[in-house]
Amino acid sequence: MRLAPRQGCNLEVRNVRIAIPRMGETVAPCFEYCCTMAIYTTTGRHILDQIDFPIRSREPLDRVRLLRDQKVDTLICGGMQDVFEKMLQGSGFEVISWVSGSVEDLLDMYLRGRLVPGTELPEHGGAGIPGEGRTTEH
Amino acid sequence: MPAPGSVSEAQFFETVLHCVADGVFTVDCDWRITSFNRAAERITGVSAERAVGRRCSEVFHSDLCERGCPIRETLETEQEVIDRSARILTKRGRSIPISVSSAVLRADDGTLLGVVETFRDLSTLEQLRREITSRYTFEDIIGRSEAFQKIFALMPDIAASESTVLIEGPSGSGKELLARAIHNLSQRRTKPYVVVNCGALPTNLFESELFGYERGAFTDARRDKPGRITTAEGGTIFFDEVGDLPLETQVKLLRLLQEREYTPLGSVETRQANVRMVAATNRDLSTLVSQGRFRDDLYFRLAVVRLTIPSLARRREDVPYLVEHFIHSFNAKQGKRIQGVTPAVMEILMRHEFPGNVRELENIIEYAFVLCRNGLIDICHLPDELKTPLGRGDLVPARVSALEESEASAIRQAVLRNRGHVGRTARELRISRTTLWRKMKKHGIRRDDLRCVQDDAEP
Repeated sequence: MRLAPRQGCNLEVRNVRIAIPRMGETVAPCFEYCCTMAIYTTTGRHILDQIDFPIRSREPLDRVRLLRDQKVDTLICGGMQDVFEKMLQGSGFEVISWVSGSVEDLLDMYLRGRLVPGTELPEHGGAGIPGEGRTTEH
Repeated sequence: MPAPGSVSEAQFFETVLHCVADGVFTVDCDWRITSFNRAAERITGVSAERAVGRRCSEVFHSDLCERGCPIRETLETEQEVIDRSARILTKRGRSIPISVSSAVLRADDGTLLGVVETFRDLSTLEQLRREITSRYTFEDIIGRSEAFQKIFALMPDIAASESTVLIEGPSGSGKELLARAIHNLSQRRTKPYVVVNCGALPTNLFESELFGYERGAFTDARRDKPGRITTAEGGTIFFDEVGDLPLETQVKLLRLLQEREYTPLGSVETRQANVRMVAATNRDLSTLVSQGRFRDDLYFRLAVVRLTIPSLARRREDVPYLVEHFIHSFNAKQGKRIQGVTPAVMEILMRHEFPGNVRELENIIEYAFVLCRNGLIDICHLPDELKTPLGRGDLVPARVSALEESEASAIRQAVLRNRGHVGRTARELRISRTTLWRKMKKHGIRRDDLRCVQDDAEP
């Protein structure tokens, strides 16, 4: 049974697609050469599903196309060339780059609205140092 | 080995490591960096303080981290890895090529301590190779402006498609660079890239040059000659200055675009053209169409995908990035270590109109490289026209009398003649130092100008 939304109360929370290039349990060191792209569908602070896309190609643009095809909203990644960052931002993606640490912890920080570019998390979780890694203009 | 009683062995080796031009670092068995020499700091842009204790993948962001890590291989096989090619990302987000070697590190008792890795920066070599082979990618296109962001956003789709692309932009704005980048990103990148300069090709030779001819087609056609289309088979053909094509040849190009086929002169057989076409022009083709000087059907066939590069004056925010790029490029080509430009020079460049666009900026930097030996490029290293009030925009008040302008010019020339020395300049002009300073201030002759000349004058 579906509940009709009450007037003045927005019950619709938009699904957000988040991509994180991963190397095992940690974020991959370089977006352009990552071998696995994990794509999460989230709503609010909840993860609805996760799909891991293995990538064999060494062509960086294939990763950009994958993000487009999968209608990704946000990319959370480790290192990336400036040119790709500008390209993705120009295409309307939110890019949070030069982060490091566990994928799970980074995603959790993002969903709580605390993840900023350059965040470095210790490998086994913890407070981390937001924005300590690299100065990125956003 | 150090002489007994002089320095400790550790100090000795540390000094040696810091003097080595190649990057050297060591990791423990968990890939955590335990030492990082100065060359490694310089190449990566990461300080030893930040690097030590972190996993090497977090510092190098290499293409080998996930596939073909030499440290992993060395740890697993205990064999050396020699000169493996890799790419790393610097702290500033620049991808640089390196060659890597690695070997195991053992304690005196044979315990495995980790791995030592050395790496060499090959970016200068790569840049020179690119200059020779023209294998540019869109990573070589320097632009942070909104116009370029739009182009970058389209690049993945343009590269994947087979559509004809029309690049519009003023002379010297980088149209051919963009065309080459499109080819080098496409599936056709391993096939030929052929340039046809439509403006330089005589009308009566257009057909034979483009489509080729067969033996006996005309007097002196003693053997078959393949045309540019045949040469570009499987690859990309770039029609530069397509707006300069006369009307009578436009129809021939139109047929090629429409039917994707052509007939060499003297042949009765029609051939299929398996080429991607990219065209560029510095003219406004739509205006030429309305004037009846360019066929509208050809225009619409060419402009399937239309990219417009604005003049440099309309994207001034790209000037600092272009300056950095050209300095890096000329340093590599000329073996110099110019670090950049002074704020005064950047101010002049930011105000300059650049009628010659990016090519003009490149020429200005090249000129400055001739005069500047090291350090920073300053006003004294710029071409004369940029030192004049016209070139320097509104650094000098616009409404000055001719007399005041003559005074300003005389002071500027004297300052340059005396290599920035205030005392000598004042003596030459027969005025006091105080008066000279006051007049320099009045005419907007900056103190930075003098510093530059003095610095550069030092041996």
